[in-house]
Amino acid sequence: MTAQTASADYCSQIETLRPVLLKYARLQLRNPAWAEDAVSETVLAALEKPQAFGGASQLKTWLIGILKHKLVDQIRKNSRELSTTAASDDGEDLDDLLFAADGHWRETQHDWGNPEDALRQLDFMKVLEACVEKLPGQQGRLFMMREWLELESDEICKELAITPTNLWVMLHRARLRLRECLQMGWFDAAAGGAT
Amino acid sequence: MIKLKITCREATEIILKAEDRTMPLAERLSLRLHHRICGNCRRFARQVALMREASARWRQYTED
Repeated sequence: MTAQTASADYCSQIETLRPVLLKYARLQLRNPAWAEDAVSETVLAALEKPQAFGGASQLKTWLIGILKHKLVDQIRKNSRELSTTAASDDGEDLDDLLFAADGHWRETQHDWGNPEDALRQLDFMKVLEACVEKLPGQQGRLFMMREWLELESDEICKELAITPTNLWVMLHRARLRLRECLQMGWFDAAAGGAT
Repeated sequence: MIKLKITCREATEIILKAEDRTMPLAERLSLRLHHRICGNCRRFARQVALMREASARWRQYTED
């Protein structure tokens, strides 16, 4: 195999992975233009330094790693806009729906069973992904920063110039919403299928 | 002051906050006492733990 054909193959493999990269960039940034930029920068970085890809990991794993850095760059670059759009797209307050005035649960909470039973299944990952996608803009962004980019809370607060309390409120809402979505989209559906 | 008797709404707030910062000792104590008498909040805490594990699997899944 010549260097020429290897390189063409490398390019086409990267091109094939572009839609996947774009999917996660959009999920993180919630802004199509910024997502395009982050993906373009990722692809460019990969094309400029093919020697950096040692083949030790999968190409996709390597590219997602680069993308995560580019996404943090995008968040930094647009931090002003991100911190001001804060709670405008928040959606309804789930706490008030879940709890009665005296602070008790309105409804009985379900046992989700053994984690392995759900997590082993590929479909569960798809439902989870769909639920993350449905989170309102800023909630989704913060949830992804925390859970997918694995940033620490204080890092997120610093990057976006928001207070810890503000962050916890938004993550609280995001996690409650995600839980509702998983309950309906996976656990209720599974229970319905079993009967 | 340590508040020993908390509502389910307060318990869920403590449970969720623990995902993003270390739980203060006083809250840990209130929560433990609350869990003794509340099955709903125990189940909620397990759901949150499952979601945490799910996030970890998902990170893996997005890279594979």
